[in-house]
Parts: sequence; structure tokens; C-alpha cells
Amino acid sequence: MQILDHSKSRELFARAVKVIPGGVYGHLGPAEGCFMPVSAYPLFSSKAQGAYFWDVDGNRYVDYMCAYGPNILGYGDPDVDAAALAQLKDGNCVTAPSAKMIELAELMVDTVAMADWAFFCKNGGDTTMFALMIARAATGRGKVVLTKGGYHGVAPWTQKSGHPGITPEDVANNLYVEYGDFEALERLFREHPGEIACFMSTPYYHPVFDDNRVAPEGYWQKVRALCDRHGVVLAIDDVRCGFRLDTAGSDKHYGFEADLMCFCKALANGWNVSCLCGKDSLKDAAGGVMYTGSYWLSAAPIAAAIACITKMRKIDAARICTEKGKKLTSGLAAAGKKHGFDLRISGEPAMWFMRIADDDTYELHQAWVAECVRRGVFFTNHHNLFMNTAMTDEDISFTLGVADEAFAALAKNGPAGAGKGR
Amino acid sequence: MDQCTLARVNVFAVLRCLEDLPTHDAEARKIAEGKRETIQFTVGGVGKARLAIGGGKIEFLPQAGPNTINLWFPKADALNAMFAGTGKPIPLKGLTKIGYLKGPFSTLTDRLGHYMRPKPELLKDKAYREANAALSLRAAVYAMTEIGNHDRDGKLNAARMADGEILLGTKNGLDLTIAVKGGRLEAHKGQPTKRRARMVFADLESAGALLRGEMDSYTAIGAEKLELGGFVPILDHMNKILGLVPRYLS
Repeated sequence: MQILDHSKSRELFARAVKVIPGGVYGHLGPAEGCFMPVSAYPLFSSKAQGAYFWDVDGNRYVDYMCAYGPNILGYGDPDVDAAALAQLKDGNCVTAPSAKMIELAELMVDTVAMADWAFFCKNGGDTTMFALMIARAATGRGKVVLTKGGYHGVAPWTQKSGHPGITPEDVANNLYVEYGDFEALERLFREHPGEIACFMSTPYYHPVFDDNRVAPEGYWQKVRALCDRHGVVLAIDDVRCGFRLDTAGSDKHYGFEADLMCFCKALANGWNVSCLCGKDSLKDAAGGVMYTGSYWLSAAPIAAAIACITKMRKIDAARICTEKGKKLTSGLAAAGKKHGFDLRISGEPAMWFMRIADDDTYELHQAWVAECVRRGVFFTNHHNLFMNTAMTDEDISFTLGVADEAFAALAKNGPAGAGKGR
Repeated sequence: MDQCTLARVNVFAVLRCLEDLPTHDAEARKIAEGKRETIQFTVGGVGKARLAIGGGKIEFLPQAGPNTINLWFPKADALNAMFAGTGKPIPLKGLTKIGYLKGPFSTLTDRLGHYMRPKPELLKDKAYREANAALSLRAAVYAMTEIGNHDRDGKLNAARMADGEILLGTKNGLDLTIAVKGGRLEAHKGQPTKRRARMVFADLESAGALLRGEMDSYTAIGAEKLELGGFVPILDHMNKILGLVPRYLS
């Protein structure tokens, strides 16, 4: 297979760093994105369609990052984009909001099992922050329990003391517990009676750099009862998993009911809108918190979300993603085995995590991923991957061919592709 | 800024860099060829270390021991004042060797300052740039271990680091190892025995540009002037400590 060239990406990066901090900042950039070595990766796209994106050098990639989740129906889905573009003609960011927001709220309440109401923002972090504020408003308490390794955005309270820009006061109300450790959670609740407003967690454990895992059997049901007993709001951050595991919400998928549910990513197939859903008992508190933003009620993304949810329900997007994920990951693991590598797959098949488990430095894995990207399959090293419904059997077959060749290169060259030995 | 951590940085990072000064500087080489003197720095509440100068080299010894001159600083602030040029040590031993302190030793610290506080006109010279980069890189790594072990934010980040050895260096051969165990950091020259992660500059020019603030780390990574690899979380936390180094070294 052809080894792809990224010279235009490099030229553009040189331009970008002159006027943009870091060139490409955040999770899409080479540093946070763990592009190792950077030369193997495209840095800028020129277009995207379906399961693919093309970089500025004209290379096509089968994309298993899906813009880190938003792309669930395929880039440029005709139904979603048509709805957004039609709404753009009627009006988008207007002094009075479009009635489309009611339509979307009704659709969310009808779709998400736990939802009695819906509130729209822009990013996932907007919803986690709002969830915490609502919990505090409703309970009159300050503390929040978070799971170690959990990610809830980039607001100071979601980060770590000692990190740049974060003060000890920013995280002073945070308590931490290992994911899935019910006894530890129970102990924390006991040690802080009347202090904890909220327990916030992702529905399953999907940290970076570590195997992903679902909670132990019965964990969520016990957590639900514990929160009820202590008057603690149970907020589920479904930003990353939402709609990929179950269109009705990941709490439903795991057999419990959250008080607040945060959605973003797959909500509108890439159009910028996020949503917090809640129970009736928290509706007054939600209405009492001052929370708004310039573009939060823009109508085009809301129209896109309506079309996206409608289509996800119609085609059962979560089931499709899970089935395609199973097919792909079993093939990837088999390709690794053929060449003597233990490619460990973990997490939910629709958004799996993988690592070559043969060394604890990850250098083999980084080299293999780089070999795949060089051949037109876009993975990243240490973040979970994402499946979308536009992925075809041919795409999966192509991917498995690339994976096989990449494993062969790894078997032959060792981790030299990732720069080992300098 | 914590004064005890600053004192440890001054002793265990800045003074330690004198070891490498003769590699880059003729005056330092000349002094290193001279009669051997061992200066002990005794800093109340901080610790003790020695510099053995002479016999062809400068050696940093990170503990108390036989010495010919013993300088006492009652507390961290006193040592930091000397480094800032506003205070003087109290000699406990070697009163007759004040001349050595004012002469050769003072010359050594001046020469180190010459390389570590670059001026634009000096940076036009390639050899100077390389000396600045090599000494600054070592100082940064040594300082980082002190900050990780003693500074409040440094300790928070060090505690998050997994055990293992990190290679930090340049492709043309400046190798430093940072060993992490139980949230404690140690640095030494040379390659790791069993590397868990690496952070390698394309060359000394790139290292110098980053350390002098001419290039940020994100740009360096994107432009492949700085390569990361291996168990990245350990580097992620280490970089948070590295980010604190300028506060102390500046």
C-alpha cells in the first residue's frame, strides 16, 4: 500500500504556529493528540464525506476518530445537513429563538428515557458545568464526587491542582473515587454527610491511556440507591458515549436512571449543539441558575440535531455502530495475533480502546498506529476510537488489510517507526 | 515561590551545572586544571553539597564530606540572597581561602552566569548557543527534580507520575535520565537502563530555542523539533513540573 506524504500539512503547520498558539491546539493537535511520530499524521483536512476525510495533501483516510465522536452518521449526512441548511435560510442566530428549540426539547424528552426536560448549550463542558450548578442549587451543598481518570471538559474544576492555570481553590470542592468501586464511594458519602451535591461520572470507564471497562454488575443500581439515600444528584456525563450505546441514553443501556444527563458529540452529527437533560425534580433548580451563551439557541444546529436524532432512531445507529465495531475489532485483534502481537481490545465495540499489550512503554503500539495512519487508516494512539454508521464492509476490509501490513512492518522493523533508537 | 525549593534548585541544579562548564569554557578548564579545593555548602533546613574543583575536573557531590572550605547559610533565604547577589555566606572552615572564593570560584560562577543568561549579541555565536542550550537543559532537568520533590505544585504532579525511567536529551547525544519511583524524581547523566518514555530534541539548537522561550513546546512537537514517545502519561505530568522551572531559574 502507498505510504502517504504530508508535506502540505507541514507547510501549513509552519504558517499556523506563527499566529496560533501551538499551531493546532487541543485534542485535534499533534501534542495533545499524541501523534507519534508527528510526521506520520496529517495535520489539516481539506474535506470530509461519509467515513472518510481527506488531508491537504490529497490523501484519503478511513476515519476512526469521527472528529472525536460527533460524526456518527457519516460526515456530511444529507438529511442532517439539509435540515441545518434549510434552517440557515430561515434564520440562525436571532434575537428571538426559533420554535425549533421546543421541537428538539420534545424530541429529547421522547428519545432519552430519563428526560423530563432539555436545555441546550454548545459544548459538552457547558453541560457538565451546568449539571454541577443545578446540583448545588438544588441541594445547597458544594462538593462533587468525580471518578479518577474521568474527563468532564476543561473548566478549572474539571482539571487538576498543580496544572497550569489551576489553583487549589478551583478543585477544593472535588472528591475523587476509583471508577466502579462502590465501597469507596459509599465511604466518601459517609465521610461527608450533607456536603456532597453531586456524583458525576461517565456511564462506563473510558480514560485515555488505559483499558476501558464497564462497571461491575449491579454497580449503577447500588449507586442510584446510594445517591437517593444521601440526597445526592446523580449526573451522568454521556457526552462521549451518548447515542453510540443506546439512543435512549447510556443510563438506560446499563439499567439505571440518572437525574441529569449531559449530551454533545453525536447529538447533531457535527453541528455545534449540546444538551443537558434532567428529571422534573431538578427543573426548578435548572431554571433558577443563570446560564446562557451567545450562540446556544442558534437554530441551524438545533435543526441538525432534530434530523440527526430522528435518523439515529430510525436506523438504530447504536446497534449498527456496535455491530460494525465488533466486526472491525475482532479482525484487528486477529491481524495482530497473526504477526505475534497481542492487540488488546477493551470497552464498548462502538467506541473501543486498543493497545498492543506486549510492552508497557506503548512504543510498539505507537509504531503500529503510525504505520496504519501512513497507509490511510486514521487511528490515534491512546484515546478510544469511534465507529460511525457510514462505515462499509469494504472500509472495514480495507482497514484490516492496512492493519495486517502495519503489523508486518512492525514485526520486521520493531518500533523504529515511532523513532525508537533515535 | 518556596524559598527552600529555590535553595535546593540553586545548590542541586545550578551549582551542579558547574560540572559541565569546563566542556564549554576555556577559563573554567584552566581553573579545573588547578589545585584541588572542595567547597561544602551547608544550608540550614535544606541540606549539604560539595563542589570539588581541581585535578582536571569539577565534581558536584550531593552530600557532606571532606572539604577544604565550608560555607554556612543559616537558612534557605541566606543562600538565595547570595545567588541573587545580595548576601554573603559565613565561612565555617577555610578562612584562609577567602581568596579562592573571591578568585577562581567567583570566576566559575561568573562564567556559568555568562552562559546561562544569554544576550542577543552572544547568541549569534554557534558555540555559545550550544553551550547555553546544553547547560540550560541540564539545569532545567536538575531543577525539575528538585521542584518535583519539594515544590507544592511540583509534588502534586510528581505524585501522579508512574514509576520508570525517562530519557530526556538530544538526537546528537546529550542524554539525561530522570528516574521516577514512588513520586520521587532523580536525574543523572546518560541513557536509562530500561526506558519507559522519551522526550528527545532534534538537536541542541531546538532545545536552546525552547529553553530560551523562542519556541513553545507545542510548536516544537508539531514541527518535530521535539519527539515524544513511550508511556506518555509520565511525560505529561513531567511537563507540568518542567513548566514550573522558569519560575525558579529566572
